[in-house]
Amino acid sequence: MLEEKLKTIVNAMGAIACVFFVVVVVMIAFEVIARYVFDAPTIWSHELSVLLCATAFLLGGPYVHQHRSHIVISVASDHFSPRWKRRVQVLLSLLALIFFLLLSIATFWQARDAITFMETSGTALNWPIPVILKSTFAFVAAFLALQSLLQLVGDFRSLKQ
Amino acid sequence: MDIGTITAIMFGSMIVLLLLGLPLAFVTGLIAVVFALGLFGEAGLQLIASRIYGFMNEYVLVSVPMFILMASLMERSGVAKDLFDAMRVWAGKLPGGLAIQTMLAATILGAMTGIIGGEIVLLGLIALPQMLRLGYDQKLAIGTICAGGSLGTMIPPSIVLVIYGLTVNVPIGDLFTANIVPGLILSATYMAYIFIRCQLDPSLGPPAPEHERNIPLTQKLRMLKGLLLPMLVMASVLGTIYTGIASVTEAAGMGVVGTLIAAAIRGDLRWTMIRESAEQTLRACGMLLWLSFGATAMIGVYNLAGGPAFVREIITGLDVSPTAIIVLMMLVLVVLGCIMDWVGICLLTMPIFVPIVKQLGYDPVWFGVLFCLNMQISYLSPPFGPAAFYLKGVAPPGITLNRIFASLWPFIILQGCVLALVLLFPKIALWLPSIN
Repeated sequence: MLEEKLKTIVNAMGAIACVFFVVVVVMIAFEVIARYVFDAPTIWSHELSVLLCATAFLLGGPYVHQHRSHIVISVASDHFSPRWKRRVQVLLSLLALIFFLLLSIATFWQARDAITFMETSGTALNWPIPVILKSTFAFVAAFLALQSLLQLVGDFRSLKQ
Repeated sequence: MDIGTITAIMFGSMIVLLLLGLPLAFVTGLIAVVFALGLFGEAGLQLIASRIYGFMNEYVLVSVPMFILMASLMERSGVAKDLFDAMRVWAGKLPGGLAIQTMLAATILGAMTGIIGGEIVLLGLIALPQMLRLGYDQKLAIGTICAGGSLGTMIPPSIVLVIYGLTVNVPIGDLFTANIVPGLILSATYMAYIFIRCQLDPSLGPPAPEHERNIPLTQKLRMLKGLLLPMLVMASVLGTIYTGIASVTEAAGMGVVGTLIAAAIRGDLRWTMIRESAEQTLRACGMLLWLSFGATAMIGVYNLAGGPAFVREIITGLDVSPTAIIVLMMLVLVVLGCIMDWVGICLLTMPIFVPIVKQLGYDPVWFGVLFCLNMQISYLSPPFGPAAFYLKGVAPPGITLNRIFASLWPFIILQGCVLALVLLFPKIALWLPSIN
């Protein structure tokens, strides 16, 4: 149930990130044409491209985690028996969970500070981009922790079978 | 805890966790947060968050998804196949001609893409069956594709150089320029190797039968025509970077636009193509960036614990010549390359190595070229050799991973030779940027 919901959210996040990449292409093209053809560079293109790409990078985390497609070295684990492989997998999922929990705490503090002081980018545009990006980071970290927790539960269940 | 113990525990636990099968992204991230908390408490965790935030907030980093998007679009349009076919004109009845043709196509493709993976898959699908059909030596054919396909990050543009430049604060345009000659030398070395081996033993690479070789001139010209547009895109992307008209990021973004236009004119632009390419970009960036987050966090904590100074003391304490120190660093990179991905290696070692390199009086641009060459070796070296994994995915069932790795060692030796050459004669890399 929860797994299914999570999958839907991850796919939606992935779709948003894909759209962001395409939007960045359009923004860069706009900026280059505005500068060289109309001699009127924008002040928002740089910062917004960074914001959109950074958000997409963050959203890519749950997407990759969902498909378990992070790069893994299997040279040693190939020699484990299936039973040991499952046991080790429980340990690995637990370690991933610990990482994302601590990362959630760290990014939560960071986001809280940014929101408290309404941190702006301090450039010509001066938008509250740090607030947006730091909050997204905290959200994604918490989401990854939840994903890892579910994976851990799943791995634990397959251990008993 | 003294820094020596910290170094030992960090490095030891990294190896153990990696071998257990934890993804490198999580290994580095986990070590970072645990050590940050243990050594510096709350402030340590805050440092990690702000370090990762600072890393993702770089404008240059926007070029990474742009380059990947450009490469995926290029792969999905028929360009690679056309390119390969067009190169057939050169093959003739030369022994090993098809392998040399593959290498030529790989080199040109390398100038259009900045990543490894797609190219190997493409060549594995297009060139490998043809070489095997003509009765090529299997090992030679496999080696050609893996080594050639890896040139994507050696011939600029290159994501490896983007990340290196970002990590050590060196202009990426200079790195691209410096990499041109060594990249071409590497490619030429491969071709010379194929040529010589096939001269000595023509049975390794028999030429195509007579009727396949006889291509009328009009058809030859037609084959070249389809390539004109993509080549133009490539030339304009690299041209704008070298002349400094646009930033690397803008050039990469315009490269995507150019690729889309070229595909539209050739008539193979599809909506699904854009969607699939964006998805591939997301997956590649998700892996690359989260790996970077972990690695940058880990090196940040190590930094704070005084690690770099510790390593510098050990290295400069060695009573050896500066060249020997560079060689030592290269050996460390080769060993790490056997078990780690290049992003991890770059972010973990370069912040420690490059200050030492500078202190010794060497140019960090030159060291970037050495790093890039070294990562070519890491693609091929077992047990963690991405090039082999990519080819395995598309190779005929009879070709095992062991078989692939067994085919790669001559090419690893060639890479080592070119690396030594650039190490001993830095001018090879540095003369082109110097004439700018």
